[in-house]
Parts: sequence; C-alpha cells; structure tokens
Amino acid sequence: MRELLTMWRDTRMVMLVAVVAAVYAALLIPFKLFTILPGLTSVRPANVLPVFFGIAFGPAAAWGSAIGNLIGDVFGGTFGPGSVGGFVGNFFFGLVGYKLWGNLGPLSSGEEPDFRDQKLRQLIEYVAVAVAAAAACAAIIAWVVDALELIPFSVLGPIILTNNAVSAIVLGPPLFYLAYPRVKEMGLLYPDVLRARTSRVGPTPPAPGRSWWCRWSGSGSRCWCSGARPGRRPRSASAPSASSSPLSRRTSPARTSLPSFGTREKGNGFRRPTRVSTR
Amino acid sequence: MSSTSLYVDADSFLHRLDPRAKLALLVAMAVPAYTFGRPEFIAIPFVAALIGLWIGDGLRNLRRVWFIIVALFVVGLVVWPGFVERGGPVVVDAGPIFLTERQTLFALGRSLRITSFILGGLVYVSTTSNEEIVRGMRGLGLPYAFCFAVGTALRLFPTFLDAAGTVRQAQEARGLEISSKNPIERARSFIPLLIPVFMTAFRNIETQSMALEARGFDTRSERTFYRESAFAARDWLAVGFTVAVSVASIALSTLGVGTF
Repeated sequence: MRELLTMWRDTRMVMLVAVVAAVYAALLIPFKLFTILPGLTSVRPANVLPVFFGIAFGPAAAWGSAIGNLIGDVFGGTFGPGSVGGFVGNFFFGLVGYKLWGNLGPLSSGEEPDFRDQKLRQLIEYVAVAVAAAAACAAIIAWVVDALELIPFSVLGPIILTNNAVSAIVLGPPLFYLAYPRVKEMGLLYPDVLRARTSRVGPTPPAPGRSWWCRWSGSGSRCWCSGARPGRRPRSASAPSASSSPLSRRTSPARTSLPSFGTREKGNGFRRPTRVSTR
Repeated sequence: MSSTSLYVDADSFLHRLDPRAKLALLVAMAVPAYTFGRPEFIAIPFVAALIGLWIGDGLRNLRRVWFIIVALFVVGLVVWPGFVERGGPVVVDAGPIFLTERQTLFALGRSLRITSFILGGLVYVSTTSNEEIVRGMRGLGLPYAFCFAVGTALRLFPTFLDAAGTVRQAQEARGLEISSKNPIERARSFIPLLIPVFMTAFRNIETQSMALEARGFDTRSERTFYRESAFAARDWLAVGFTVAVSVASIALSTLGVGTF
C-alpha cells in the first residue's frame, strides 16, 4: 500500500491522477443511462472507468477516481458532507482492481486483461474483480450516507452495488479489448511508469547472483539473466513499490530499453523473455 | 470557464471570505442539520443555506439543480417512515400507506437534512472558484502534489467535457444509436463514445509530464507562492461563528432539545 503515497513523487503519476480525475468527471455527468434514485444514483457507463483505470494505472487511478467523483459532485450540485463517502468509496473502486487482478488464486487467468487469450478465464477474473470493487465502493458510500442519517444502508448499498457492477461488467470486457493494448503502447501502464522512473533514478543494487531486473520483475528462474529464483522486488525509497501489482509480471513493451516478456509459462504465472526492446 | 461551472462571479460578503472560512461556514450549517432530528430545528440551517444562496447570488443555480433537491426530498419522505417505529396520532391511513405523526416528522427531518446539505454545498461552490478551492485545500495543509492534481483536473475537466459532447455528436452523426430500449445494447453503445475521449486525454500525458519537469516541477521540495492566503478578521469571525453554532447544537441535542 506504500505506493499510494510514494506515487506522488512521480510527475507522470501525478499527471495520470489529474487526467483520470478529469476524464472520469467529464464522462460521469453527460452520459447517464437510467436514474435509479433521482439525485442519488443512476446507471452511468462511466462507472466502468475506475475498474479499467485501476487495473491499468494502479494507485493513480485510485486517487483519480476519488478526485473525479468529487469534481462530479462539485459541478453536479451534490457537493456536501456525503461527498466524503463518495471520495473514499471511489478511491477503493479504483484501488481494488489493481490489487486483485492476478491475485485471485485459482480465479486468476494469469494473463493481461486484454481479452485476447483465455477469454473465459479472463472474463471470470474480471467479473470477480469488478464485483469486488463495486461492493467495496457501495459499502463505503452507503455506510457514510447511513452514518449521516441521510439514506439507510440497506436501501442505498444494493443500489450502488448494482449500479457500479452492471456498468463495469457490461462495458469492461470490450473496453479492455479495445483500449488496453493502446494504453500499453503508450507506455502508461502502472509497471511501465514505475520502470521508467526506476531507470531514471537508478536501479537498486542487485543482490549477489541476481540481477536487478530479475528481482524487480519477479521473473525468477526463467529470467533472461538466468540462474535466479523468483524474488521480491526492491523497495527503494525513491521508487514506489509494485510488489503486489500483478501487472509487474505482464508483457509490457517498455520505452526504457528493458526486456519485454512474451508468452506465459503455464503453471508458474511468470513469463519467458522472448525479446529485448531496442527502442 | 465552461458553462458547467456553478461558480457565480460576484462580489458578495461570502465571495470575499477565505475558502477555508467558507468551509467552516459549511460545517456550521452541517452540524446543526446533523445533530438535530426534528424538522422545525433542521429547518433553521435549511433556511440559512437559502439565505446564503441569496447573499452569494447563487439562487440562479437552484434552477439547475432543483430536480435533484426535490427528488432527494421526496426519496427521504418515502424511504424513512419504513425505518422508524410508529408513534403518536395517525396522520395517513390509506390502505397500505399508514403513517403516524412520529414517522412523518422523522422522515420530514431527514429530508430537510439531506436537502440542507446539498444547499450548503451549493452555496460553497456558487461562491468559490476552482482556483480558490485548490488554494483552500493548500491552506488546510494538504500536500502540494495532491492540490496540483486537483487543480489540473479542474482545469482539464471542461475540456474533456466538451470533447465528450463533440464525440457524442460525431458518433451520432455517423449513425450510432444510443437510445436503444434494450439496456445492454444501450450500455454497449457507449463504448464508441468512451474510448475516443480518454484515448485523446491520455495521449498527451507523456509530453505534459516532460513539460512540467522541464519547468522544475518537483513535488518534494518546499514551494513558495505568489499569492499567500491570509486569514482576515471576517474569516476568524466565520470560524468563531462555526465553533459557537457547533458547540451550541451539540449541547442542545445532548440535552434532548430538537431530537426525538
């Protein structure tokens, strides 16, 4: 969880927070499908964005979703004490996605969320992640609103859960299929940003017999530097930790002349290096 | 500034207050609305918020959000009677609808509370510009990087909102049907709208970040500001008023005044 604070040291992550917040707020307001409780909640296609951004951009999406919802309240005329619940709830709406993807044990597909390989397993994993994220958001907002004695938890909680989950489940898979490769190509995936930053500030010296990249990527015995076992990524003070992010194991055409990994090796969740980027 | 903003550019007493003092006044309105339960007591912050809107020239914003306020009021009236015990004389007895005086007053109080919160927030956003909101956050001691992100998002938001509208018109002109009666089809029709907007947004992050760093952007070093916020006497007065109102409200409600 330390990366939620250390990410603020990176300019690209700060810009990602701002852009995620602005895009989320900009798409929240004009695009509404159905109003469930007038003034309180409605089915909005933009509710898929915290999950998508969360898996792609990591902690930046958590903060961005929280700020975006706050901006939506300010511009939508619903700013008030309940906005605190909206801020925290949407923070977790973005956070849960990147924390859970790849960490669901047997439910995890072990793939990038691009819905190209093992589509069914990815769909199962995605639905589990989306429902968990929607439930976290719903529980927090409904609890705060109930604590303020505005609307009972038992009324608002299920409504927000349904509202968030429906949009995320229906729109998520096509969105990932179309947009994820493009975001990856831009080098904006959370581990890519971290990798670029780590390469700028300089790598943590590797332990004897083990390369820095091997330890950071967790590529273990199949790493291109050979001979090393899977290890923990370094937690230097200058680089945000990505130890819990499954994206750090994924294929990423980095713009930092670091190796890009190819097909997934069955059973171990790690990837075999297939090429080295020369960009 | 996009027309989506609720800020009203005027020179009222509320506009001249420091954004932190305005937040304090928001608290002064929220605490009694929260601590009291009886509608006649919650009506006081409700009326105060309406007066605040009038002073801050924000009554025109009511026209934009009246539907939300009325809807919240009605939702409260409908929902809350089911969550409170019956008591007192019967007010409504029409088949399945059976309401006692206690249920009615309780629901009315909750409805007034939620609308008071919304009106109070409306006063704040009507009298505080985006820049002042960020300056207030900075003045409250929030980290600069966070305030910078909020400020940048507030500036980018109208641009992306316009882009979203343009994309929507463009896709509809190409034959995109977004008013299908099938909810799943309708939801899926939004995909061609979502992707162009945020792909446009994220395309420039790299260059924007480099531009920031080229200008010496650093979130860790201590910053100085051209315009420092200073708390004037009127701001301290607002804070003092907030403290007095909050203490009085809590004390009275503890004594059972204004509660059920």
